[in-house]
Amino acid sequence: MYAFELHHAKSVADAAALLAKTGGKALAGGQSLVAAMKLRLAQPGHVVDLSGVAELKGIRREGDHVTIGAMTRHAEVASSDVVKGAIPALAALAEGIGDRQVRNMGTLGGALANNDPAADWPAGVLGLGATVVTNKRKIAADDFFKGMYETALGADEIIVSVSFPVPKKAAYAKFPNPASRFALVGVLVAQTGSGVRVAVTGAASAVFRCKPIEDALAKSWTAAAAKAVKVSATDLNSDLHGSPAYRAHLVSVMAARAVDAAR
Amino acid sequence: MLAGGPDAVRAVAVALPHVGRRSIVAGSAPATGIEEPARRIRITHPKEEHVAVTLSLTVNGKAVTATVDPRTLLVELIRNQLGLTGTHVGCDTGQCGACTVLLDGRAVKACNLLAAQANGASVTTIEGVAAADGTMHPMQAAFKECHGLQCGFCTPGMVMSAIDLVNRHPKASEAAIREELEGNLCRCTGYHNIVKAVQLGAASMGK
Repeated sequence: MYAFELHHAKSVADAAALLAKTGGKALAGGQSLVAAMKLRLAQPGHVVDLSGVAELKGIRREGDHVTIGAMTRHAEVASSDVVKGAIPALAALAEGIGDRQVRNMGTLGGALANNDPAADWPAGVLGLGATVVTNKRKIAADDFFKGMYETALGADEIIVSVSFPVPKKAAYAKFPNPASRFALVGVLVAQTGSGVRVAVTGAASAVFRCKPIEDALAKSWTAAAAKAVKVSATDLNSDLHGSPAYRAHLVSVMAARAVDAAR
Repeated sequence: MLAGGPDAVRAVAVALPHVGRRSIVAGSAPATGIEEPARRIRITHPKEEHVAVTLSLTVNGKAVTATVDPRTLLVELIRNQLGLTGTHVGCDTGQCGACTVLLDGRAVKACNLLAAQANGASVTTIEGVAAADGTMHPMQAAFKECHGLQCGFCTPGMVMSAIDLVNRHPKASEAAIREELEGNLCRCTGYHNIVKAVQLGAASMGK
């Protein structure tokens, strides 16, 4: 790890000012950032620790939305009665991230800002049509994820919370890499107030919505309808774990499993 | 596609910091033929001098103040500065769980945390779980009783994870225990007796 200067932010405004002044990186739970810094894949000259910012924490139900603070840990989401009651799919998604130790440190906001192409949270946020609330604006999920490790966030923009509309039904099904537990393919299906949404992570360079399966499920909300869709392998990832065709097949299979599990 | 294994990957990653690790591992142009976008982690000029930070935390019930280079990992603080070498470094990449400690009661991997992330918190290591008179913690005793170890390298991390597990799920099933120990690897593959030990430890902790 290269040397860096550490700053402890006391508030969101303080953190934003520090990021603007130093050009540094925000540290949430650090489960990706610290690992990347150890490998010198990330070399920030300044790191702004957000762990002392109280306004970034907490889970609350607000009418037909559940709002989760950016610094809320995966384990806290997984065990939250509010989340389990309103959107059980989200609690299950959080419970399936990495391993216990990772879930005890990693945060919702950190995972979204990092936007790993195989991370689980992007599928949850895009699939439910959530809104990412930053210190500057509100960003619809459809506009937030821009590409591999790339988001709509500006340099001194900090995710404050994410507001999830409570769906009629939803579930997340993941085919995990057996070693890392990152998604080889993960699919979140949801019946929302604005129609059926299907978000896929792990399969391509970034999370995306699968229109053919959305259309099929809008006509017939059944596992068979999802499974019958032949997903295009064009632009899907290829690595030692799976070919594009294998991943394309998995998208339909995991969507079908998610439909079966949806409640 | 690059050849040469992880070291070569790392060397390239350092030389080409704007290129993501995934793209190096997977080849720069995946089957899509679309050029990958540049990595978006901000790169600033690395520098070797540092501004030390002073941390206050509680370790095994004792107040500790330490002045460290900000890049010091929690496990480095624990082992090198505090001399508590019961916490092991196995993979040093956040995978094996040998470095597991409790941070405010929650199991975390001390090799994947900056020491500064424990500022103000309470850390418990394997040295801190036995009673003051040396009587083993019920989970330690269970590992001894069930022969829940072979070489013993992973054992401190296993015990710390098991204590966190039982604190949250006092009556965890065998399947749940296996799932919960996902983040702890035993290279002797001694999992069967480890699971038995956690079951016995859970029963003892409940008494």
